[in-house]
Amino acid sequence: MILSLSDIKKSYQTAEGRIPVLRGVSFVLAKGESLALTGESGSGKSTLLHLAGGLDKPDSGTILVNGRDITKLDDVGRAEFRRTDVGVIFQQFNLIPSLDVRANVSFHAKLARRFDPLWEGELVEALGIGQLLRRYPEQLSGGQQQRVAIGRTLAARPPLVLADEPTGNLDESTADAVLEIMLRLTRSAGIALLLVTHSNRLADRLDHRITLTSGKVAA
Amino acid sequence: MSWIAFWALLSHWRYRPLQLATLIVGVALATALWSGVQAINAEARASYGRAAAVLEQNQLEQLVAKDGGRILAHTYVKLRRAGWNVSPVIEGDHRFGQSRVRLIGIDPLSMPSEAQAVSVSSAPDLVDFVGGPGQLIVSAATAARLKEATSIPVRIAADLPDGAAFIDIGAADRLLNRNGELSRIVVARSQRPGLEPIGAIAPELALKDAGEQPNVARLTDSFHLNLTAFGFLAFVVGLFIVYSATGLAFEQRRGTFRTLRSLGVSLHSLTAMLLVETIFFALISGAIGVILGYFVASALLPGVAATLRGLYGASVPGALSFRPEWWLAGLAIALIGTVLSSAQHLWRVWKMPILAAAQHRAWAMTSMKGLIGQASIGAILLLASCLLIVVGKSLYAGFAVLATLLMGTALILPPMLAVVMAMGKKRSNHVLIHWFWADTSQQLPGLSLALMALLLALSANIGVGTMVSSFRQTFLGWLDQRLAAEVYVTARDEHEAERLRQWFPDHAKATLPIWSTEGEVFGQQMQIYGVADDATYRDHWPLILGSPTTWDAVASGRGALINEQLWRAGKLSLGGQIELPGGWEARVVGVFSDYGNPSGQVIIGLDALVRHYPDVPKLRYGLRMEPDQVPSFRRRLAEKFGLPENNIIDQASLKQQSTAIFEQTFAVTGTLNVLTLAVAGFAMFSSLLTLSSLRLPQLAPVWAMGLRRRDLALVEVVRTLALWLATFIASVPVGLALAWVLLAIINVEAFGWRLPIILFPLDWLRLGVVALVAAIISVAVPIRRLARTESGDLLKVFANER
Repeated sequence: MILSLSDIKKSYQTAEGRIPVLRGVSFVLAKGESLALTGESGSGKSTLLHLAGGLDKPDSGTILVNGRDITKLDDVGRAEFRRTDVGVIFQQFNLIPSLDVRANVSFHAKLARRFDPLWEGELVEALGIGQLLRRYPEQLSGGQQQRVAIGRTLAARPPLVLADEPTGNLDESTADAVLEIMLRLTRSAGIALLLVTHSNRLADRLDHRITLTSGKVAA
Repeated sequence: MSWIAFWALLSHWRYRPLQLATLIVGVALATALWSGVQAINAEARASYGRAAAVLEQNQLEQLVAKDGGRILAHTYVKLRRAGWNVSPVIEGDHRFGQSRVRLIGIDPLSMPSEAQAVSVSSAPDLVDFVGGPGQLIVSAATAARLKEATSIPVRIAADLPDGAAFIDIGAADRLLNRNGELSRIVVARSQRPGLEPIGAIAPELALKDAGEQPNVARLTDSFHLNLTAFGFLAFVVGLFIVYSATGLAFEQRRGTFRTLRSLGVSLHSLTAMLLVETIFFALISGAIGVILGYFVASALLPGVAATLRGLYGASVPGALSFRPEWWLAGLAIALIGTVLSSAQHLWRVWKMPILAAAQHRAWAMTSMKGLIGQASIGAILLLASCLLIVVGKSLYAGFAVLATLLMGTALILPPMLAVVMAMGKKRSNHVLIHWFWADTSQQLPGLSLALMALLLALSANIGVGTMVSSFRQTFLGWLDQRLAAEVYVTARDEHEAERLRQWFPDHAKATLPIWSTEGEVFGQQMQIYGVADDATYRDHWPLILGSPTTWDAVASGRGALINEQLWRAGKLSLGGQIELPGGWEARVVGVFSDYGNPSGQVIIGLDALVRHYPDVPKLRYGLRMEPDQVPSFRRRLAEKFGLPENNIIDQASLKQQSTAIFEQTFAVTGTLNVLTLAVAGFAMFSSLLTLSSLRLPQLAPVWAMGLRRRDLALVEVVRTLALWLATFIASVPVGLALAWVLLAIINVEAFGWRLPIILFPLDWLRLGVVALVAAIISVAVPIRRLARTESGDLLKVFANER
């Protein structure tokens, strides 16, 4: 198993008191497989993704990635984990505005010391961003930016990719095209994909699907 | 630290070169003005040290008369006979034509080698120095001034201060009419053991320790403190630019920070990278600043040298020598300043949650609580300023008053503007005006530092300008009174002076001898003048304190006038007794204004002067006559005595010279004022640029609702000008308070004289126009950028794609 979550609980302190967001979530994801995580707004999908990506820590439970419990890692350890073991694609793309497309695409791979120009070339071609390499993020459309963000994540070839509504800002046809590319590339590279989405249509195209309801996996 | 991540961080600056330029220029300007001023101070202080070592031989102990008078040659002989290794010095001012030179008469044979300022050790040198007419050893500049003014041969030596001349003690004795009396005695370091104590041999002498701070260094401390304060003010204003630029860079890179961290760059690494980046820029900009500072110092030094010469009689070379320690000090101050002004942003990065929103937020948004806190600190500082005025009694207390006053008012400005805007918002009925007030209120936190910088610069300009103008007006009035004689004549020698004294009564209405001697009063060297009993003095001499019988008491020889400096030093009061060199006493009967004189001065009756100091030089005279008689008088005098042009000066020329010296003295202050204002203008530009980059989300909704881009640009201009006007209005009372502190506290503590405050509203208006132009220039680039914003960029705000 590339990703294994066991009885994950997480709550946040608010003015009204502690609000539980996740109330004991467990599931697994195998290498090269894809899993859609759906649920209503506020059901805890993004929180779960952040926990799996080492961006936040659960109150209790274990998260194993490649057999390593990332909940036991300190800040430096989690930073190293994010650098080498996982790639996160956000809805807001989060490209570095001062770097051009080429530098953005190769950035994570170089950071993880897994930069492979051949693989990068394949990705650029597959994502159809070859004409955009000299442009800066603000010169790109939303769909183009998202393709660059996907390219940046896959170029690093992490064993696990987490995507938080990566097509949420895109129209239907562009969203379909982007997801198609993502699935094709992750499958060919043996990368596991955990994708958060509101769309049942998109969720149906992935290997597995789980739904969160009030912080728990629905039966 | 990952190089690829560091490179990504740095790419921000390549992507935004104007912002990079702002940061570098900010640090460089701040460093330049600070290190420039420090360079000037260091050069001047080194010069005082050199001069003291050369002129006063202050590396060795010295013997001086306890009563401040001269030492009898017999006393010196007694010391030598007792086995003491000592050397005599005769010192005093002597006029060669119009050039006044400090003569230092030494005995080259007995002078200890460590005190030998000039080399006369070889046999031919020694023969030239002591033999025949003697020899004057001087600096190149002094040699040029003495050209054709003396028949004594002149030799040029390096490292000698201007205006001083070494001469054999015998020649000095002759020229200064000392009749063997000595000024001081230098004591060599190596002495035979078991000698009888000096106190037993010559109880009338006092021992002065070696290495004492030179008089001129003490005198000029206040001037250097003044320069340092100016440099520091400019430095602080410069740091506001840096704060602004680094704040903008932080805001623009919030998304990048989040991305980097989500891609595995640890918080430690990210903070370390930002710190390294800060240090890197600080060192680069600091180096540029030090180089700029060198040019600033080189440009200002001649003016400073003129000031020091005019105000204190201190000789400082007009050229700057390169000192490696400036590099280190300049880079260090740039580093400290940049790190300090970036500290808050670095702290925010350190505390920023990894999942923080990547969108820009209103930069440096301050809560109402923050504004109240800021106003409270400002009020406390103003209160401290008032307390210091009441209880503080030193120059440092005076500068503390200045600092607390300026910082207090600067801190109170933004909260006051916030109150004005809240009131404006409340009272406005039109929706756009309401929005204008609300939007301006939102901009205030981002602009507050620039406005504070502008307030500091404008207040400093008004304050220092008022001080200088008040000084100028008072000084010119005082000069009119003091230079009452129509012509001033200087004889070339005593014989000629004797002949002139016989000739003057037939050719002038009144002859006013200007005779003076020098001596120690209250442990300080000062001039003692004698005045004739003449209506000129009774009618014209500007007295601060006195009585109807003052001039009668002076004429009788029992009364003495003291200058304001001596009076304010607190050692003497009206009616008190003053002990004068030679051990006699006079009653203080009046106090006179004496602007521009660094030390105390005493005036006694002319007869008393000649009686107590019979060898006083009697070379200079003021002559009263009708102004239209001056040309013919000059012609007759030149024909009869063959006096050179330079020895006959009319009142108008003298006033012109004095005024020129005054103007040159304050030229440096004027330049520093302009530079500080320029830095403040740049701070304004930098802040507006910062805000304009973050403005789109705030302006796009108003644009979408029907306001054209050029309307928005116009609103920005109106806003900038309104804030400028409010700051300018606030700066007038602050500037006047500053002028009052300078005139009533700093001047009194530093120079010993108090000046009346005179208002010059036209000067403020001129300054206002200059500041207005600066404000318009500073808003031009951001406005141009806004007016040219593409519709697509504004639409992106709604597409949530920023």
